[in-house]
Amino acid sequence: MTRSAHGILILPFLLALPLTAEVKRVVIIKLDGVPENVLERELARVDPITHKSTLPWIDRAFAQGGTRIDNFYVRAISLSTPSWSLLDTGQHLQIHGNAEFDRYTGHVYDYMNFFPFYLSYARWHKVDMPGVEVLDQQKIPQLIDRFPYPAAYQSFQLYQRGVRWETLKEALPHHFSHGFRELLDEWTIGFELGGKSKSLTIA
Amino acid sequence: MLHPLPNERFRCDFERRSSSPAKLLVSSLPLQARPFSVPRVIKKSNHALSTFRAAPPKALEDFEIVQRGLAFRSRIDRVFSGCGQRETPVLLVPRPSITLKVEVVRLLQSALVTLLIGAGFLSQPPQSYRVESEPVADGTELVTFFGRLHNAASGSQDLRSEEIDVPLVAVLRDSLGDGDPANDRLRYVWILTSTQPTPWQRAASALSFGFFRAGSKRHANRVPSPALDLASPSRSVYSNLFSDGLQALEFDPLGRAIRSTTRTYRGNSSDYGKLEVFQALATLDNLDRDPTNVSVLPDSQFREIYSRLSLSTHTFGGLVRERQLSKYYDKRTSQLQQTRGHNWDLLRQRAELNGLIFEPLALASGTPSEALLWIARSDLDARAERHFDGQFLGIADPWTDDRLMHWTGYTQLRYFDSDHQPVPAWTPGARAEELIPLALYNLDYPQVPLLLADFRDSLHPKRREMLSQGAASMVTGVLGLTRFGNPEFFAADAAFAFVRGRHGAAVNRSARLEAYSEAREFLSVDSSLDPALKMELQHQLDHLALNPRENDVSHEANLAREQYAALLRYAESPRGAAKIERDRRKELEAYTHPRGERFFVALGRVFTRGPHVDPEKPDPILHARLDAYRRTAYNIRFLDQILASSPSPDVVWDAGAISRSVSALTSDTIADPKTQRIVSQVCARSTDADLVLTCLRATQAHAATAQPSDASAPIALGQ
Repeated sequence: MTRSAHGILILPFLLALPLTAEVKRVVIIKLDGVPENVLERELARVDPITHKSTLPWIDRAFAQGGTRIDNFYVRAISLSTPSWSLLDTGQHLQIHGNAEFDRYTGHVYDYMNFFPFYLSYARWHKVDMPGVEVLDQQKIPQLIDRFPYPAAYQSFQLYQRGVRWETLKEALPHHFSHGFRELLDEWTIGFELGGKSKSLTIA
Repeated sequence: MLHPLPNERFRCDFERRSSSPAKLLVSSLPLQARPFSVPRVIKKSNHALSTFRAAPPKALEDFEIVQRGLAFRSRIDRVFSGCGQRETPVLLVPRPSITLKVEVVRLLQSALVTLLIGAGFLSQPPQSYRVESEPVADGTELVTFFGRLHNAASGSQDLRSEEIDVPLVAVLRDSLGDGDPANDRLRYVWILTSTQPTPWQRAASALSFGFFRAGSKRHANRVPSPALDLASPSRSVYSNLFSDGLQALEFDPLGRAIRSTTRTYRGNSSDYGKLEVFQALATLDNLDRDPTNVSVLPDSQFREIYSRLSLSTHTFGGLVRERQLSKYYDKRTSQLQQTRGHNWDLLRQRAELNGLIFEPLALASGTPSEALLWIARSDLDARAERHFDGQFLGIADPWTDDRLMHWTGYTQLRYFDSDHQPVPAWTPGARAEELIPLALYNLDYPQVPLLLADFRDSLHPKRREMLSQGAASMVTGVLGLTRFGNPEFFAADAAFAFVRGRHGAAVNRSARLEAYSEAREFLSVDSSLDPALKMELQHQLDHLALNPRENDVSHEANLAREQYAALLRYAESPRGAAKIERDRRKELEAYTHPRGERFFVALGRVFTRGPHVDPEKPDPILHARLDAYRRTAYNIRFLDQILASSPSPDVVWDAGAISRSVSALTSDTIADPKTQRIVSQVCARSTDADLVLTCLRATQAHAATAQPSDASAPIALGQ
């Protein structure tokens, strides 16, 4: 028996073995509207002062320590809601626009409007964004549905399930719990709702 | 002529014959050497090509083979004794014709390259701005930003031929006489176009509702006052707060006349200061950060100057800590780019919607900060079919304006192709269009483009500005309603400004001033516009000069040059050297004395004028101590900022640079209590093995040298 035949026989056994790689946490960063070449360009660009990529953490976590897929794109109309539905579900397109109108029922689907979502959540405890409701009606699961609800933390996004007010309540004081000087600095140069990472240049 | 071969491996194959210096002995190379294309010259010589494989073509092409084979080798065995056995020696002589030809070609090539470089250099427009460093007294430098301005004094209309380098902003850098930026300290910033007002300017600036320029200074031979002290930026905050308090508590209750006069005077003074700062910022914005400029002024120092200048226009800007400056710089510059992009597109869309022509204006080194709107005269023939929507444009309907039908003002002939794209005049099929300028806009005003010049109604922007400033003077100066003294007024004013701002009104006075200042700077430096159009634009922009303290833009170049000359004289004089030495002593005190003690020392100086300083005899011990303290502070600041920027410092910064900083701190003679904590944090949060090892060594060294109780330990740096 040749060596390649041995290999073909062993391969099914190897494939049948359970994978023991343990994933402790999955973090998904979603960037809306960023052309694919921008990320590659910024990753390849080396800051002459720091001698690191201009996206050092993306470079560290994804380019060096993770997996990247080139030429990965969404084959759909270039609108946020349909594109994200493809990315979040991996299924054929069911939502075809950022806003839709059902001429039979007269119902308007405004997928990008967050205010009715928060209002509905507060008044009637409707916990999902309109896009998520449509996908649920079609029985199309999202990637986040692979994980139990208590273990998944979603930030503000188009396909959002519920609002974690408790998380927000705990995060906000932490965000603003600075000393007087720091608050004064931020007030002068402008508050930021983003992360606390700071850029710096020292020559 | 002999050409040495570039490869070391070929050296043993050559020998110069004593009888004939022009001839060379060459052995071939091992046959197993990798083949490559053989030069054409060799091919023609009809010899076995395999013999010459792997020989460098550029050297061999100059020679002709005159003899080869073992018979020849027997005569020259000693030459090839060091080479391989599978070699076939050949005798080569230079080919005179080839050599001459090659030499001529090389000469022509080098001449062509020189010509092209020269032509390229000459065809490149000179940089609008540049930065230079001029050594002055006792280890300090004057870093000066120059701009190429049109020399208005020459009276020439040829803008390019009459451009001169004008010093615009100067910064004193105390480098302690070396080239290492680690121990540099930036001190004073002078805006050289800013002058002390004349008595008439002072008097006019106290007149309420006096919206006119009160003459212009023509000469300024005195040393200008610094706009900012970078070593002590908070001082201006306290002095401004003090004067604001004085105004509110002492002057305002004295009656309408005093209140109105003092507020107008202070407002004009503040506006003039801001105008000059915004002009300086426009200079820095447009400075091309090429390697030449960066070598004179490192990026960190550039950011510090820019950020401090920009923050000086904010009430509490001087209190912003040094670690936030780089963040502020990034934020401001990215915001500026966003605003420009937004306004650029908004104005373009509105122009296209109304059938007008949009033209962005930019200096060679920057992005478009201004834009012009034009209308084609030929389009006016079909104006009855046109519709005009003036939202965000702020100008009257040009399609119903009869003045345009009989326009006698400035026009420009442009050429367009069949797709309505602008093309040069000589393009086949190009169509000529006579364009009439309608308006000039600034693209840096937040949210909407700001109208600066209306060619059909020159006083339109001026009326808007006068109404706005007049209303403010009336409310605060005459009626005495202030935002902080009257909460109801504050709420109503804020709500009104918010709503009007959302509808595109220019309600931000400081931003309007900035837009006007940038446009002034742009027109001073730009050399691409048609001179007649530029003069027209400057004339239109002059209508917005409402501050009595403001000088005529045509005199500013002369004023700046005179003030710069005076500044250089002062900096090189014993008085200037003594001032620098006193500043250094104060700085050293800040490192070595607690804050309370420094306060009393400063109080004592008021009465004793401080210790005597001899500028002729600089204190080398003081310099050495200052150098050590500055380096320690630099390294602590560097590590502190890296720790603040990322949980793992070596991910965002070169681990080698961090190691060097840690090592420098450890070997420093200055014992700082922060050092141990920072090095420990770097050690705990680094993932690079070499860096961790360096930190551990540093920690051990520090622990070994630390004293259990050191009563004379200096205070923490940066206090």
